[in-house]
Formats: sequence, structure tokens, C-alpha cells
Amino acid sequence: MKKVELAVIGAGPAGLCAAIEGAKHGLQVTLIDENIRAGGQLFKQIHKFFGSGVHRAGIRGVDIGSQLLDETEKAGVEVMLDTVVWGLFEDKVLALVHEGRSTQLSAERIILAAGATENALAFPGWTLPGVMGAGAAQTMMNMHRVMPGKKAIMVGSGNVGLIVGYQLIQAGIKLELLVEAAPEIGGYSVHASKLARNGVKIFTSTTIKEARGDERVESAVTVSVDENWNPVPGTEREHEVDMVCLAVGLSPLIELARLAGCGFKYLSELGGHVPLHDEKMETTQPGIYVAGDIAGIDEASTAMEEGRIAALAAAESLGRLGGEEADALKKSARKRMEEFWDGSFGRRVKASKESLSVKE
Amino acid sequence: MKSADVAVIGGGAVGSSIAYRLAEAGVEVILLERGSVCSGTSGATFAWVGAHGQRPFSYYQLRKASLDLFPDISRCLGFDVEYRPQGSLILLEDEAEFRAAQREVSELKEEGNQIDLLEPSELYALEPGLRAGFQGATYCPLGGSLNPFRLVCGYQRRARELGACIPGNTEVQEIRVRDGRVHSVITDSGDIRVERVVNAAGVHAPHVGRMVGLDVPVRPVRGQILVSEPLPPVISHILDDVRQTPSGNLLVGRLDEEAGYQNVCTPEGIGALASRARKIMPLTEKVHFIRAYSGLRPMPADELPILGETREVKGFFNAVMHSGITLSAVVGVLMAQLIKEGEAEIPLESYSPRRFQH
Repeated sequence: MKKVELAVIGAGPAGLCAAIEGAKHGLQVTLIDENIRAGGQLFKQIHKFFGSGVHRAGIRGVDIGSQLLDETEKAGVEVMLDTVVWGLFEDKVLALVHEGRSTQLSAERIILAAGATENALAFPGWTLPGVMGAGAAQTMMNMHRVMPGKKAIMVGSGNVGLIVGYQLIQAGIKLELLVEAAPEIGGYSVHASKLARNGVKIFTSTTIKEARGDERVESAVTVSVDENWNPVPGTEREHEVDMVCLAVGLSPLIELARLAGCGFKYLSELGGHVPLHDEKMETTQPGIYVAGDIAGIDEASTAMEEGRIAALAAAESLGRLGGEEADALKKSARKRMEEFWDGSFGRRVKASKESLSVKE
Repeated sequence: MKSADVAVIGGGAVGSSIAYRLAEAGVEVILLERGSVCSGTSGATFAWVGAHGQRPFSYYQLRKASLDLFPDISRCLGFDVEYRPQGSLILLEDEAEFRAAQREVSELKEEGNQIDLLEPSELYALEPGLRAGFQGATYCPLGGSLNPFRLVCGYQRRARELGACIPGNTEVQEIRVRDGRVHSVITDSGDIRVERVVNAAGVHAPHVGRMVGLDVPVRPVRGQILVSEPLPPVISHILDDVRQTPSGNLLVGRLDEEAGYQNVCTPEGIGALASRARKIMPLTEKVHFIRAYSGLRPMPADELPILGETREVKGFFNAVMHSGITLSAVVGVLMAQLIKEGEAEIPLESYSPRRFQH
């Protein structure tokens, strides 16, 4: 069985940064991803990142992705693409499958950076072609250059709904309206204003009731909801669209952490069940770390810092990094995260993340 | 202090069935399970209910008595447990196995055991999807499979309707004995004054036994099971190590491993099961396996059920066995009779815990 010092699972922003940081400090690193291309969601993020300069704000996700791939190569990370990790067994043995063949890999340290999956919403007609996750629409448009529809409704006004909504317009799709079940817009108002300026109707306290059509979506019915989230009869409205985009949140992809026997906590603000972890991103299973959305849904900017912290901790525990140097590096990564969190959204995320901390 | 006539410890198939039958008999019963429904062995089973070639004959009869109850069980419970009568096949790989089976089948038949020997042509007529080259099979028409989650839920739902108390997530920490009799059960959510305790804790039965200073000679045997993606119907019988669920998934099982209480899947185990599947059904080479699970099955020292009251502690009953899903139906009936009437319609003396005393 092949042996490595550090295996990083998931080559999105968290995993790439973890792999680069680990290799920088002398670890022999294998980075594994089930997709045929590394970068996770970065390559479909054609918008500029927020935050400040240290968070590469103002740079588009796709460019951050290219930079990180470059660094990964220079750092000497072994990258295994099109490779699914289907098992995590005792003594940190990973089971992989590539081109239909199963192999095993034993790792001294593991960083789980598997990311998240989009939530769905069930309503009559939700299985009709034309109903899709906002992330799926984004992948079709920005990566595969395929128009997912002509006239759309967006469900959900978090940053994903707002940003992808704008990208639909950029791709030449008419965004008829955006509905939000809560009484307030969920994401940043700067993104919502952009949509409003482009003539998108935004209805709050409104949700989707039904998608109609024979072979595919031909229209969508919306309905107002009261303060208890119950539909208000008589407020139904039918909109002629061929596409329903769902941006109703993400859930951490925690299967591997479950297999590893990690402890969990349920925190709805972070997307559901999240592995308990300490300041070094180490889970309750010694030598297994988490970084990025698996550690609680947040932004790519913090995912990258978490990846670095986890790799620094792994390098330190394997004696590649003095305690003082490691502490200083982890501290500065944590400081960048804290700065990023310094807003009302961030403060909520930060508080939730702190409640996950494993007491030593 | 809360009270009940009987506290059943262990909410798997066996304990839940006993609670159901006790409630049906009008006995005030509380079922104590530290996890949730099917969180232990009953949720990690192959769920083949059968009596294929079982010995001794009295044990075969006990299993058969249970199998006789399954066709009607969904109606009794008012809840569909997805029981399907299928019969079972144990494949014979070579000439030597065939000859050994020939002798065994004729002995078993003489005892009265329902079993037949199939020639290869008969086997392949029944299951055309098998790999060529098997030398035949032994065939038992009894039994089939069911959905163990629905079975345990069904027992518990019906028990509740009949008045049983099933709090869930309640761990027994201690059992108090006074003057040689069970007196009360101490749980993490309060004490319960009881007349009797039934130890239906399966692989954890020795732990419960130690609470009253008794040895329950049971050890855990680990099984691992591999689950395929759903397929169109490809086999209709239960094979010794493969069956197909109503939703089309193949279940490939079931290793017998001595691994203590290590309830985990291993890469070696999963690999062995995948090879086994390939050896039996060529089509599995192209099938995706989507999941694997492991479970600990209780194995009594002499492999036969342990049913009945202990001599040392009055009011303390054991109901611990391998094949708990198969046996649950009849064991519920018999244990309820034994507890309420002092004797059961099928004599249980040979299964008494007293047999282990020297």
C-alpha cells in the first residue's frame, strides 16, 4: 500500500491551500479530487471576491483558482484527479477508485476538505427538467458554456442566489424574478441592488409553490407566506419561465468525517451537522483535520485560511515546523479570518464556529 | 419511583417482539433501549429469515415455528414489514461439496427437515443469473426476507398501542437485586421498580448480566454487508451470501469475523465481499456498490438461544440469541407465555440459561 505523509481530500480553495502550505513545510502531500479538474467551485466564480487585499479581494474566483493550481504544481504536490475517496478506515487508510480500479493509500495525516452540496427544495414539479440548483446553473454557464434556460426564476436571496442571479443576466438569460421566503434579503445589499438595477423583481415573504409543464418547466407558481411561513391562499401568481433556480443553502459533505468516527454538532447557521474541531482544525479523531465548507458553510476566503491552518498543524505534529513558527503562522492565518469575519454575517459564522471548538 | 411488571432491556427485534407480546397479554411492560430504533444489530442485518439445514431438529422446529408467523405478521402489527417468502439456496462449489451435501440432506430429511438437493440443471433453471460451474445447491423452501427497520418499528408501534411504555434513549446503568430477586432498574432517566427483567441486549447481554453478577456466555461476531445500486430483478431466492431487496439493491454478506466489539467495515472485508459477489454473479462486475455496513451479531457459546429465568436471580430472564430477526416472532410469544404463565407452548428447558452451569 502506498504511504504518504499528508493526504488532502478535495481540491477546492481549502484543499489547494492546505496542500500548498503542507508541501511548503516539507510534507509529502497527495491531493485527491473526484473531478477531472482541480479548483472546486473557484472556476465558476467569475465574480470578484470580497474582503480586503490580504484575502485576494477584488480578484475573480477563476483567477484565484489558476494561481493556486500554479502554486500547487510548484510546491511539488502530487495531484490525483478523477479519483473518488470511497472509504476511510482504521489507521487512516483511504480507499480510492480511479478509472474503475480501487486502490488504498495510507496517510499519516488527513485533511478533509470535501466541501458542500447544494440543498434542494421539494414542491410539485421539482423533478421537471429546468429545475436546478443555482450552483448547477453556474457550472453549466461559466464552466461548460451552456445556457441552462431562457427565462428564469431564482429561489433564495442569499449571496449565492444574488450572485448567480446576476450571472444568469450576464449569460443572456432573462431573470424574471427572485423570491425569498424570509421578510428580508439574505445576502449583501450591494448584490441585490445590482439585480434591482437590472429590472429584476424581488419578492420577499414569497416562495415557490409549484413548477408546471409537460416535458419540462413551462411556468412557476409563487405564493406569499405569512410570518409563520405558511402560504397565504389567494396570493398565487403564475410566471412564464423555463428555468427554476434553487439557491436555498448548502450542507457540509461530511460522509468521510462520519466514517472516521469524528464527533459532530448540529448548527443550522453552518449548514447542518458539522465535525467538532479545535483551533488547529483537528477533529476529535487525532490526525484528521477539516477545512472549508465541511467545517461549516462559509466563504472561499476563510476556507483557504482554514486549509493553511490545518496543514500547518499537520506539519507541526510531524515535526516539520517548530512550535513557535507554527503558532505565529497559524495566528496570522486566524487573524486574516477574523478580519474577514468582521461584519454582521461573519460575526454570526464566527460565533457558530467557536461553539464547535473541542475543549482540550 | 416509576414501576412496571417487566422491564425489557434492549430494543432490537427480540426485545421489541417480547415487549409487544407482553403488552398483548396485558402485562405492564417498559422497553429500555439506550439508542434509537435499530441502532444496534437489528439495523445491520442481512435480514434473511430462514431455517435452512438447521440442527438440532428441535432448533429447526423452533425456527420453523417463527417462520410460520411471518406471513401474517404485517396484518397482526397493522404495519407492513415487507416480508417476502422466497426460499433459500446454498450453492455447492465442487464435487466434494456436492457429495457432502448429498449425505447431509438425506440425514436432515430423515429427521423431518424441509430441504432438498438440486442438480446443476435444476439450480440454473431457478437462478439463471448465477455464474456457470456450480455443482448444485441445497434448497429450503421456508422463509424469505423482510425489512428489519420496519419489523422493529412494527413491533414497537403495536406494543405502544397495546400499552407498553417505550421511552427510547434510556440507558440501564444498574439492576438492583433484593433477597435474590430483581427489585429495580436504575436508568439515566430515573429508577424503575420492577418485578422482572428480560435481558434482550444481544451482543451487550454479558454487560447486562454482570449487573446482577451473572455470566451470559455470548460473544460478538462481526458481519459486513455490501449494498449495490438498485438493479432490475436478477435473483429471486435468498442465496447464502446474496439477496436482492424489493427496491432492487443487492445485499452481499456476511462475513463471520472475530473482532470483539470493533464494529467497523474493513477494506479487506469489503474486498472479500466484492470478490464473492463476482464469483456468484458475473453481472456484479459491472455493478456499482454504493454502501457497506457492519454489525455485531450475538453468538451464544453453544450457538443455541438462551431463553429463560436464571436460577441465581429470580425474576431475571435472558433472551439472547443468534438469528434474532428470524426467531423474534416466536420468541416474543414464548417469552411472554413463560413470564406470564410460567411455561411456554414450546418447551424451552433445553434453551434455559441453567444449561451453562456445571
